[in-house]
Amino acid sequence: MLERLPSSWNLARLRLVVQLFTFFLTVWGSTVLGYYAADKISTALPALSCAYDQQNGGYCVLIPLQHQMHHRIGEALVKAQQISQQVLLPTLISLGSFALFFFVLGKAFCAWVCPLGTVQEWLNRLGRRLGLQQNAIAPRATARVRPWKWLILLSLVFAVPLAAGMGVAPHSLGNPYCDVCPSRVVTTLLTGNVDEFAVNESSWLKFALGAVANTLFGFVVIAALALRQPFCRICPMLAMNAMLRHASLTRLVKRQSDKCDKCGICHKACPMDIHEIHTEHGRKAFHEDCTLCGRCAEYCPDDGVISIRFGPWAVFQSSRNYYKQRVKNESPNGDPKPIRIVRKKDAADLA
Amino acid sequence: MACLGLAGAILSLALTAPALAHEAHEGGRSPSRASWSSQPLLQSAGRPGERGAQAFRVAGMSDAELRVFAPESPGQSVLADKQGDGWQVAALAGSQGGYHWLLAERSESGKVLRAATIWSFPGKGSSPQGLLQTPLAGLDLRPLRVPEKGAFRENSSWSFRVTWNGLPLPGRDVFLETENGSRQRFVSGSDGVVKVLFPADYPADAIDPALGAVRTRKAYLLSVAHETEGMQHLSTFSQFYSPALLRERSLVWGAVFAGVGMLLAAPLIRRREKKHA
Repeated sequence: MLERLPSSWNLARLRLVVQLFTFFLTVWGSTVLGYYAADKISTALPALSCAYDQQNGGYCVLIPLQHQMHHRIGEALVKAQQISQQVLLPTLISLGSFALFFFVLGKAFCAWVCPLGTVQEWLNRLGRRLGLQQNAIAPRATARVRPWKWLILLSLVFAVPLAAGMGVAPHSLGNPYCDVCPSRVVTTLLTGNVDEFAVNESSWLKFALGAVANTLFGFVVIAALALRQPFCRICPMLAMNAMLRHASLTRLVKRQSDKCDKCGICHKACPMDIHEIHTEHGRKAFHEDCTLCGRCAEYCPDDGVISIRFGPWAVFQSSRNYYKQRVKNESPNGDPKPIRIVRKKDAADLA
Repeated sequence: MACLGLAGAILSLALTAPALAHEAHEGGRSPSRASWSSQPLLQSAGRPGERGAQAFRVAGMSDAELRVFAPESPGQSVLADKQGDGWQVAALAGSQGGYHWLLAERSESGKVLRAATIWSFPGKGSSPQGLLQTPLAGLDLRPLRVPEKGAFRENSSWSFRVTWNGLPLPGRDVFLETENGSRQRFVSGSDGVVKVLFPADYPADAIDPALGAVRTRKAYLLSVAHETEGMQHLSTFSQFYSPALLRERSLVWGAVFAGVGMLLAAPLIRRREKKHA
């Protein structure tokens, strides 16, 4: 489908245009859409579009989920009331909105929409331009990193807010994930608001949460210069998006090919260091860490082995010709190729 | 200093003049007033009741009627039932909650008094944009925007529009009074819009430790007067404002911890080794 784009375009450029658009929408979108929740795209986006940024055009599903755990379900359990429709409905609406968005675009929210993902990607490009050595996470080490996103989702998004609602944990732990989320700091700073960068000193707990948030923010900003998508690897939204990835219309498909054994370029191209994209095929190749950026499909040198599908249609699929064009501009691991300046005559000779 | 004192006295006289005139006209009846303002003031009272119903009382105005406007139909109002010395108001039937415009009004010979506020009832509700862009006939004062998340805060600027029969009223004095004791005068521009900078007037000990700067709040009131065809019109808008968040937050600590994070990531930063031929 995307092969019909003009020759100067490729999937990465298309993604950049989408990222620029969604970045504006998720950070400053209220200037176009309107300021109030009713005007926004949704209050349950599967991307870290921060609700603390008052100029955003739609916000992240994680904040209503934490509030519902805290104020609805937790408090209702304590009062020993029946889990009525009144209690569950708001949670179901949040999860339902999320599922609706997710059903259409799936994990593409991570690589095409999330503003924090975009910022990290741009920082990494800057790091490469500055000539910094790039780091990758080895297959063995990924096994240690991957559980963290599930742990953060279960503890900071569900369990702790629920405990706060039940009175077991302090009230100030009502939305602990937001309190430590670097996207909150990044997106509010981008709107010129320093309130979220400042650390709350009113209690030791708030101070500790602020300290974690800013340390994480500082770490991500520097680490992203030398490591692709450092925060995405532990992001609870990645875990949320992973749960239903096989049910989504938009998904990654890899078919078995004998040539894959000796290749592995797709693994080098993957910004999340997912080695399974090289070693597996079928359902296992569409890994829980995949952000659907499409780089593996772009850099697969074989026709039709890896594709991004929307329902029954292949939106993009790997091809040898595309690969040849793509590596002229950027190596699979993300290094930009130096711009070649050639005289007209030499260019004609080369041709 | 003497000039400042004189200016303060003139300002305080200007602020109290309409209310003094009103009191004289009441002919001995003495409607209860807010302790910090002599102007008509519509305010919530107590905590929300069942299904988010909220009690409201008006000070500085007696025998008023309260009209409620829902965001879904900003031009239509419903008269609230009086209960005791105030009203118990819930989101209007057919509304999904959210911001409602409340207007207490009293007309008498030679004078029209209005006290308005905006209140968010439980539920996501429709956007209040329609409510804020639909001025009523007569003298109207309403914000161009209200905070959806967070609050009006110290040191932040918010715009309000003064209209007369729906048309902008330029060059009009708009007075701000706060529960913390500030008194300021602003003037509406050619489009009737007045930009109000909320004063940083919270005393250091006024932040409730249990609520923090996020939820501590005090009332403010904006008032504007207009006289036409022998009728005096006085309209007020009141709501709450909160302390600046930076009062209990530290940018220095923010920078320190961001620096710690950067240092932790520093081992990842290495210059790429140049390939030798």
